[in-house]
Amino acid sequence: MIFNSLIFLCFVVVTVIINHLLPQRFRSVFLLFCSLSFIGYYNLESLVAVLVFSLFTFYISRNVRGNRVLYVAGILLNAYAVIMFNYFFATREGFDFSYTAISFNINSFIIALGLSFYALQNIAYLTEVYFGRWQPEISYKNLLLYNSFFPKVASGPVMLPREFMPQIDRNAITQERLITGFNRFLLGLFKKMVIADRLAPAVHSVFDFGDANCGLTTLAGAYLFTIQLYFDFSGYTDMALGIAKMLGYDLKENFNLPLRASSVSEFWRRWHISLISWFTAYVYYPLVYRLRSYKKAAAVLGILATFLISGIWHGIGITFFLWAFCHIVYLIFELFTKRLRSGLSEKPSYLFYRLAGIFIVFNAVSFSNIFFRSGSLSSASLMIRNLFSGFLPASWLRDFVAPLAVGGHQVDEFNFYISIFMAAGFLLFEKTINRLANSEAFSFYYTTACVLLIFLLGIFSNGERFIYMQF
Amino acid sequence: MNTVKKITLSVAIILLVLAGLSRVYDFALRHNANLKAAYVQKAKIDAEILFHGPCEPLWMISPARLDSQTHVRSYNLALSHSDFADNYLHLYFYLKHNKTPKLMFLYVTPESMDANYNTFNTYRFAAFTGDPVVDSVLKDCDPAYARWTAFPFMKYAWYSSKINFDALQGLKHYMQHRTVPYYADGYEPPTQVVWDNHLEEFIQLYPHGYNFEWNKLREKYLCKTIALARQYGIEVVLYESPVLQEALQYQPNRQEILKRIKGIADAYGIEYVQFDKMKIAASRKYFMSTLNLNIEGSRIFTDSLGRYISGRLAAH
Amino acid sequence: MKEHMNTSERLQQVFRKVFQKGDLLISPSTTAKDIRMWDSLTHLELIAAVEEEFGIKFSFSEVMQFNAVGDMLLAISRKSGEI
Repeated sequence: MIFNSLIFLCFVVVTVIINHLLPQRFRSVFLLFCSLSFIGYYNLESLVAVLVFSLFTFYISRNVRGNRVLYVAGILLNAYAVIMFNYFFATREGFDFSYTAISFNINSFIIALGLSFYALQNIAYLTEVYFGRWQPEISYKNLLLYNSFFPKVASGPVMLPREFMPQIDRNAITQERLITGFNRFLLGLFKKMVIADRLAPAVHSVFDFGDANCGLTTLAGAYLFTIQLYFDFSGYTDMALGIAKMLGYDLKENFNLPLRASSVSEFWRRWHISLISWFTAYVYYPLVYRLRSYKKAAAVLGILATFLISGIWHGIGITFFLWAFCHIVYLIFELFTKRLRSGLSEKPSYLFYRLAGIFIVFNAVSFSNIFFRSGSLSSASLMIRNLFSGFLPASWLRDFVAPLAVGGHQVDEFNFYISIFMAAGFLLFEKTINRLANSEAFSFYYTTACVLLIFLLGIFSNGERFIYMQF
Repeated sequence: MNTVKKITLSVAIILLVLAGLSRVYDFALRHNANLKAAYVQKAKIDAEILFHGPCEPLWMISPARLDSQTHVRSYNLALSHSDFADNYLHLYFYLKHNKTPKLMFLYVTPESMDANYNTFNTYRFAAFTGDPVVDSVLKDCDPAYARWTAFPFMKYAWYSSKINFDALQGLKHYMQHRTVPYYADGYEPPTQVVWDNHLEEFIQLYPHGYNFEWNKLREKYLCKTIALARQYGIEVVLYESPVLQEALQYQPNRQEILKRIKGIADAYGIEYVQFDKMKIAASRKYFMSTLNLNIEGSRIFTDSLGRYISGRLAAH
Repeated sequence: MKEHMNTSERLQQVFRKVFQKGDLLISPSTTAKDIRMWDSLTHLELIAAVEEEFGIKFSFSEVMQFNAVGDMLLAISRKSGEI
């Protein structure tokens, strides 16, 4: 079930109500049942995958402490799962990019829901148990819930054992939590339906039909993809955290105003935080710790390893490698120019420095995202070539507005400008909006405004029935 | 105010606003003169001849040009990307409020019978739900949508990106007392004048040709459209404008589909007139794409059609 | 006490060298938030330099648990005392 569908909303409402009414000791079993149903509803393979991989991890963890061979086996098993499913997904006919279960292309399909995410959780869990930092779970139920918990199974956030396990069977559901969860969920729904999905056609047009676009249009498309991705993924995260909160669970934040980062290192502290925390704790730090006597070289190697593995985790293919490579270059550059930039930032024009930084980072990230979103190396190279040749549009309406608005008619422009306006307005006032979304009090104005705007401007059907062949 | 009261108030206000907005949209869309569904129900068009179908008639047949030859008033009821169900409802609206025309030319080509081409544009009828004919077609052609129309404003929210602009424009027309559409006789001149490469892309996708898939729902609504017209005593003529000959080799089952279309025409005792022998069909010079003539080609075709119609009217 | 202050001053020197800021001042409550140059990319470089200066080795878990300069000072004293 995708998050912004009626059946899912009903599922959430029913689950929250029953969970609230159940006595504390039955809740985790109930949630497990709901989560497994949710996964099974998606497809059977996903259900089998989560059961099997959790079971293997569970049994390995019972004997893994201090047992290096078993530990490595456990890691390899979970890593293999990620690669196998990503690779399998990549070679299906019509490679379609789908980062979140809420996909960018109508036809994408994930084989095993959430496998990439809970495999990481399993690796974290085994690592903690192996080093004696965590006691292996006595009940398979807890590990299974840790992996299959439906608000976060689709696309995270990635939780560490110490962050999630203690919450099982100990969560209190108060009115404040219910309201905070609801406010947060509503925000996520808004971000997805009113902003991300409205920008999707423009991005689809530039990336998938943009062979002949001029540089400015291509650049705009890349910018819009970064924004769409942010609203889509952070919207999903808001919904996940909101639902979890209504069920009594506090999940990790994934985003902290990443588009306001003034350096790429800062960006990675604000974007997909749960994933980066995992990579930092289990790849970067262990590696750089071992090599720390090599000072900066160790950090360079750490960055390389972290992002190469992250690239593979996101998807098999040269485009993901190139995306990772961009960030490796950016971060290494920042590592070696840290003192210079730190000095610049202390000059009187701090605001200018920050704004310039934000602009540069946004461009750097958008550029790398061309690789991330392109279905193939050839289309990515074509886009980059377009970016640097014939930058200005020959005709503003035909070569800039029409491709982005997916049509040259007034109605298309109208819709497009509204989408831009909503995105820009939101980004400007995001701090305030977030405060409202995290409030423990029910706000009549916030709720009414969100719901009405969703009805007026939200995308309910993806309009694919109006995509036709016309001869 | 305690939380429960706030929540109740919120839900109530939301439902109220949505219901109110729905009314506003109903009103606005019915006053948008550019929307044919609304225009034909308000204006007294009273044409003698109707042209109907999707883009091909819409972009090719200019009543202004044609009428000077036939000396009879005609109206172009066609709409872009529309299938027969779409056509059916527009004809229904037209006939409810206008004098019955003598003649109706309905464009039918093999693509029309294949669900991959054109579609039922649900959003065009959102302001007219509640009418049993409209509702039954909606249920047939967009059942998911039909289920949702019960919820306030949802019939507009569902396809809001197609509707919001039209609603605003409708309000504008109302305030300006504008009752005539931009294209008063229904004809829209094509926006392109040059070849659009669709054929090249088509050949790449289907190097061995494309077999049309006969769709039952399309057939159903073709028949209903013919039957509706006949019910009003209109003489129906199915027709096909010139098709680029070069493209015919990529349509292996074309003749088979044409035969079936002819079969339907025969069943209703009406003609299926094909303008496929015209000289212009041989050259890309007169086409924008396989089925769509460009301005020059359209002029030639319209003149030909005009002669045909004049001859037909004289004979009767 | 005197040993502790010595350690503090030496540590400050290390910070100044690693972060290339001659006038940097640290206190037991200083955290990464207070020093612009101190982040995950430079943390381990700092640790390596501290280890070199004091001739000690931190374990991985110790390194991960350092939240503030004060944690470092405690760990250093403990390890130096063990020698």
